[in-house]
Amino acid sequence: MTSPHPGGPRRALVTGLVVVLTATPALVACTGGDVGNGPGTGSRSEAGSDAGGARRVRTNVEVGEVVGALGPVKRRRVATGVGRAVDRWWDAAFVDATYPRRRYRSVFPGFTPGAAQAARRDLDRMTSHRLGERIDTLAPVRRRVVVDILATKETARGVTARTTLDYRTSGEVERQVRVSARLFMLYREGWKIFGYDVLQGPKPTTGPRGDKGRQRGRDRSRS
Amino acid sequence: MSTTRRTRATRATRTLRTGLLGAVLAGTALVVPSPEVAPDDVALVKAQRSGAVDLSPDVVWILAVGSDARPGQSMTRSRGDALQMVGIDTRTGAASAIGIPRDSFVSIPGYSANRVNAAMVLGGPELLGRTVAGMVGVQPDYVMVTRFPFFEDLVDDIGGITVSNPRRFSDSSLKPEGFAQGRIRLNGYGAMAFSRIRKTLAGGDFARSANQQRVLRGIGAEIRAKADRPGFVERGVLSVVQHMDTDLGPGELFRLARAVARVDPSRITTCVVGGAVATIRGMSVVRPNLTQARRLGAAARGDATLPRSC
Repeated sequence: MTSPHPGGPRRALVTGLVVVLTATPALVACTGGDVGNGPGTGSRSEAGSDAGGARRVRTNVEVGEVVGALGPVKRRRVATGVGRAVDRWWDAAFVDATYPRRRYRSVFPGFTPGAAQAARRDLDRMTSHRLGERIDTLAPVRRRVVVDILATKETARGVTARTTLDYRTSGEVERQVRVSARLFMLYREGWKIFGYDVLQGPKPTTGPRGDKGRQRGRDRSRS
Repeated sequence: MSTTRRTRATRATRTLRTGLLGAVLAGTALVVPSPEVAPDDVALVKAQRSGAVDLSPDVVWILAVGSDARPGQSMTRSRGDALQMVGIDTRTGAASAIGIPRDSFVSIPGYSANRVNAAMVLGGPELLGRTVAGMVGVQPDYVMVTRFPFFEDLVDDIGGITVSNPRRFSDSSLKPEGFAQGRIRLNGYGAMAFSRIRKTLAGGDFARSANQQRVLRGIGAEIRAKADRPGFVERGVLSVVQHMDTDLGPGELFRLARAVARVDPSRITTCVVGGAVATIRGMSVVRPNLTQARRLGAAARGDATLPRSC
């Protein structure tokens, strides 16, 4: 964006920045190479989970509902951190592993102890455990995170991450699976998952367009 | 064939048991298939659903207080008019409410015996919590105080509630047209009036406490039904932050709200502590049945479930 007023490039830059940040509904594409520290970034295809033509699937992270006052830059920062936490779970529980797979230890990084304990009782829903021993590869085909934020005083206090992981398996079981989860998170030296509501089952035959429309985030700030 | 059926039945039973929390949120019946026998080219594998919220302790007790503070008065130093001890078992989605008649004449720690609702005037929510704990034998983990106008806002913020009203009643000042018998929809004002009207109820304070529990049940059902909507719980928490007095930060309120949202309306049990009307020191009071109160507290302490018979 260029300034029509030669004398006010800085103002135009600021204005442009605000417009960009607000007009692009805080769409944040992260992970893969963008986010950095996520354990799955850059190593997904090296884990041997998709031996037949590995392809990197980037996680699409969006800001959803924002309740309370939080500026656009902070929203994006929150979404990035939340996306990173979700990636760590997905990578540990599904993607970064050698299949067939029997071991599911340390698959809930970023979970609070109580949530991790509950998740271990839900291995069939929270990991690839149900299919793990009968597949040779597991390849993610879609990774999407929509982050609803509760904020007060320009600080994010809690978030709900609405997540979708679609993956495809090969081997004895060839199947397309969808893991839809809502993760409830608080910031405690990083975004920690203290609760979840997860659904894992066959990927719907209808495309994601329908729920994409429903899930698309809208910033509804309330101060 | 029979082996397959037994396998399916066993798996379904086990999943039903271990996935109880998931069933709370599921809302739809989900049947777990046997992956060993399901051909992969037939997409008859149904989804599995689970959920949990990490909240310590597993059974959390909240003393919900409706303060009768007038405008300009301190909400936390006024009488608590509505007193409900609410327990939530985050493992199972069960919840219970023990109604405390506001005129219950009880011991107040550090003070002479008085009506229970005087405890908040004397020592704030903390003393009220200890006083109620002395009655039911369960110490509340949280005391949440709101005043009635704010309560109206809270109910309006969640879009109103539905209650089951056992009999028609009215009040000349609060609700002249009255509340019809049956399932009725209430907005914030209606919920407030439904909770406050006492004089025209045959059961007086006890019946009012039961009505407050009907409102709580309606709130729980509304939250449960809408918790999946993006931003709904977040908006509710912000409303609580704005309308309630609590020493919990917004983050912890969010965690608590997520636990509340897991409450299964079909697993809510309620009782009102009984008692006898008496006059002490010129005051019309209720002599509460403390044996019953402690029995109810003991029954619900571990799993937030009250016995069928109060």
